Amino acid sequence: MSHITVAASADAVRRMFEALRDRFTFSSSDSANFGPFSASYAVTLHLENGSVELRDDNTIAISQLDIKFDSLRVGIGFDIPELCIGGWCIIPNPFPIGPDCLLGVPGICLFSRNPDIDISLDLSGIVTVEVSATTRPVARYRVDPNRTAAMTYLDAEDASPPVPNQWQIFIDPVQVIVDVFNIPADIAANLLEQAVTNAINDQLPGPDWLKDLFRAILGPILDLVRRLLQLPDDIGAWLSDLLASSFGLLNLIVAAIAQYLSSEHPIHLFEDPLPILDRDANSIPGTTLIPVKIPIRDLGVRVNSREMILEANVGAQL
Amino acid sequence: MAFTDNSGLYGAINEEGINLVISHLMRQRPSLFNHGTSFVGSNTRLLCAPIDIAPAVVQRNNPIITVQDPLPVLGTNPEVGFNYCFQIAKVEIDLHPGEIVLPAELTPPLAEQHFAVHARMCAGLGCPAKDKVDVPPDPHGRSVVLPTSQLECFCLDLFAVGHVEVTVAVTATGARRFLLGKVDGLEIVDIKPDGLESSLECYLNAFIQLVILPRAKVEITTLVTHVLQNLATITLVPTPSSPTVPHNPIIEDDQLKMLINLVVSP
Repeated sequence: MSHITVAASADAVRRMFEALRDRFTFSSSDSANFGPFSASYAVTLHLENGSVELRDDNTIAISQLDIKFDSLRVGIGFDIPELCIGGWCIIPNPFPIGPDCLLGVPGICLFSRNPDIDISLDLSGIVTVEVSATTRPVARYRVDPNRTAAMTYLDAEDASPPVPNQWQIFIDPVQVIVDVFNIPADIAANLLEQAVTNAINDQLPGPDWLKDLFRAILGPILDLVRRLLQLPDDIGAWLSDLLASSFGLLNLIVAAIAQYLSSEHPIHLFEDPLPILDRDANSIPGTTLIPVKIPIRDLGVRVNSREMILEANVGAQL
Repeated sequence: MAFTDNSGLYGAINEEGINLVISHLMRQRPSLFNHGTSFVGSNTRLLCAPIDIAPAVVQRNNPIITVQDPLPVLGTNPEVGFNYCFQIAKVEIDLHPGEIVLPAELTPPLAEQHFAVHARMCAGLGCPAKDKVDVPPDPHGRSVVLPTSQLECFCLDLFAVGHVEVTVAVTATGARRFLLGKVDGLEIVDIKPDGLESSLECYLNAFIQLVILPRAKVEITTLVTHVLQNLATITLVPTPSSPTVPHNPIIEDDQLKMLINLVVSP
């Protein structure tokens, strides 16, 4: 029988998980060229909600964990074929001398840049992703890499920052499942069309009636974009695929969550040796007595459907 | 039945674990258990019982004994005193159900929800040779300590029974709750006459209650290994007594157990 037994109810474990969840953040950005267009993304996200279920098979199931995008911007750059309008002559010069044309319409060429259109879509409010995971509690012993071999446990405590050894309890993911990005098709199409319209408007010269004329020549904006980018009907699915598959963002998020849970942030930790009495500067005038600490050995952790149980022994020697 | 059927957190340590904790306490804070004059402190070979000291005590220049004034010879002026030492050399805790054979004065068997202690107490007086008692007075009128090369030592077995309570200390950072041992009865074996025995027991009881136990009280969050204590919205408080939890802390099955509730701040 272990010397020490500590148990946390399912409710306590849920609160521990919530504290862990609330400290998770993730950010990433990337860009790539995909032939007819170039794309980029920048994302920051955190986690919310989620339910925790302890199971008798020594696993903790986490479900309905929402990925909330604090920012999710997708940039798309593409070329519209150059369009030159005007440049024709209304009154040619009949005389052999002078310019060929006495009165002409000046020519202008549109979409000469490369890329012509560089739009940024803010998807942060419309994308939802849900995560579920099956985890298993594990106890690990951590020796701080900044702790030198010559340090005693008190030296490690006094270091700035302190570098004590720690027992850490992780909930190690056995499996993490992330839903596909759910980007509503109609909202995505509207966003894309509005962004492209604004971008094209910025490049069109002249007053509004002239811009209307140019847009009439170009045809429906979304059709133009679909044609140029070879987009399917479901723009939302295309954006989802762009982020999830082409950029591999889902895999990055899964890997980040898995690493966070398995090795970066324990659900619980404590020092070894464990302090049981503080330093004492009062009992003997002019002297600060060292803290009293006990070595914790053989830490094990397990769960059943009702609680998480930690068991450990008190070591004989520090 | 789950450990946490009646609380959010549960912590328990068995008597083997407690006795290891006590051995670490005695090794790391020897000055709590060993007292004597500065002469004895400087000449630890004079001690009545060897002290097992953790290396950190020496590394951090912590004292091995708490230095006390010499034991005065009554009526001397300037004061003349004896070197002496007083040591608690061994402590063994037994949680209910009891296994230590208690003296009859402590009404065995050990009552439910109680612990028993078997301790070995040693003391010694630095008696000088008879011809050295007549020491010359200090020319500056200071007190004089009788010279000695060894202590006249004796050791006694001490038994006690007690229980554990939760005490609250209000600090700048909020209320801190500690587990504190309380002595309900104490008995020294085989001392006569009875008045001497009672006087010694009275003194030792006061020493344990006023010196040892207050300085060895352990914060309850330590026993639950700091679980959740860093969450700002959660306060850990002992589960109050109820029909389902008649005692808390609990001493049973050779273990000290503590049930703790999570109180969520609004």
